[in-house]
Amino acid sequence: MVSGGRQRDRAHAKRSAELRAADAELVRRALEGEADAFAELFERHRDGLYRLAWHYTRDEERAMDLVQDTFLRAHQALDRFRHEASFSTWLRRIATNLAIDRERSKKGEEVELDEIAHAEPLAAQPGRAPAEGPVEAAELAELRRDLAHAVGSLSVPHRAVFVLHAVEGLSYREIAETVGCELGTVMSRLHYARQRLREKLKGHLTEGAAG
Amino acid sequence: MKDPRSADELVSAYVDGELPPEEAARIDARIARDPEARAAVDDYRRLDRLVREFEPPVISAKRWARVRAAVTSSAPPRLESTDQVRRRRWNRIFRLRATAFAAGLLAAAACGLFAVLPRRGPVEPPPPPPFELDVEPDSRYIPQIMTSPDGEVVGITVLSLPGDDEEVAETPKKKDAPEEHE
Repeated sequence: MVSGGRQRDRAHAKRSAELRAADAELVRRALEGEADAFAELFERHRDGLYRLAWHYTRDEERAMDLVQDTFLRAHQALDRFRHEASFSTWLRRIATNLAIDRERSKKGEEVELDEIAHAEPLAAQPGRAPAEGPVEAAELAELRRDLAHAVGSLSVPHRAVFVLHAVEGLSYREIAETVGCELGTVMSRLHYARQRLREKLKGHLTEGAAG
Repeated sequence: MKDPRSADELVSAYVDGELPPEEAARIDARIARDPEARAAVDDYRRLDRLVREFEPPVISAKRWARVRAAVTSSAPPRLESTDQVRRRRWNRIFRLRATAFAAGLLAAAACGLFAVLPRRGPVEPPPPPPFELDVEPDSRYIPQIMTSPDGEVVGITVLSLPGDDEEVAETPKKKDAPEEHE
């Protein structure tokens, strides 16, 4: 068991190092003026960044805006990328800062929660298998709405830490690097976010446990 | 020293596998005897799964192509060659030296100007206007010192003695002048 886990960790570390080296090479080529190099970086990271942006904003349009602005900023500031962190960590950091800035500038508006409340049901989304029956579809839609409400009620710094951990699977150290805070802050923010979500989704969590 | 992390925070970190083995063992023991802690661990794991299951809506290839075009059409910064870096450094040094030289010149000019300009002594205040008494001719005047109730001298004036005063009004008579008769 233990040796299997270690092998997996080693393989994961090796894969990460390869990806990082490939990104570094693409960054170097983009800085030398090779037009396709940045396009390739875009292709490699767009899906991961979109998933993160969608979990931050819970809205397709806003998520796409955030992705576009993040890549634009990264492109413009490419010569300031120091390779101290991986390129994907750098992109996530830009996206997280942009999301936090936008939330701050929007503070006081109640648009966000209203939009979340009327979010499209999951079963109706393209690319997803429809729920088995109308009851299941309705339950799924309700769960999606409640989840969106609960996650949307968190401040972006708390949401960011939770999403980076739960969705992106980052370690505390990687989250601290991405968000730019201490390990202890990551731990306390994550704990606070979980407590809030647990409180708001109590019914769904219990049903899930029963099912 | 007291651990600043709360017991619940440690449970959260335990779920994420972020605790060192000895701390994880302590939480294991706590979970075994505390149903609340056990429920929290189960809920945190379910919560993570629940959020992970929700994938965002799929974006069409056409839309991605539009975003890609918008992103890559912006002008990226270019890496500078060694020559460019050297030239930029020399330019900066030259600008610094030029600024220092100009500042020195300005300081020297100011010193020269100071030395050349004629020096003037302190400006004296203009003399006060002459004191004139508004007096009647052919009257007698007695100077008076004006004092405040505290006895402080506040000014000087004159006491005019007009001609209705007998002593003053008496003018010497001419010896050969005839006496007036009523």
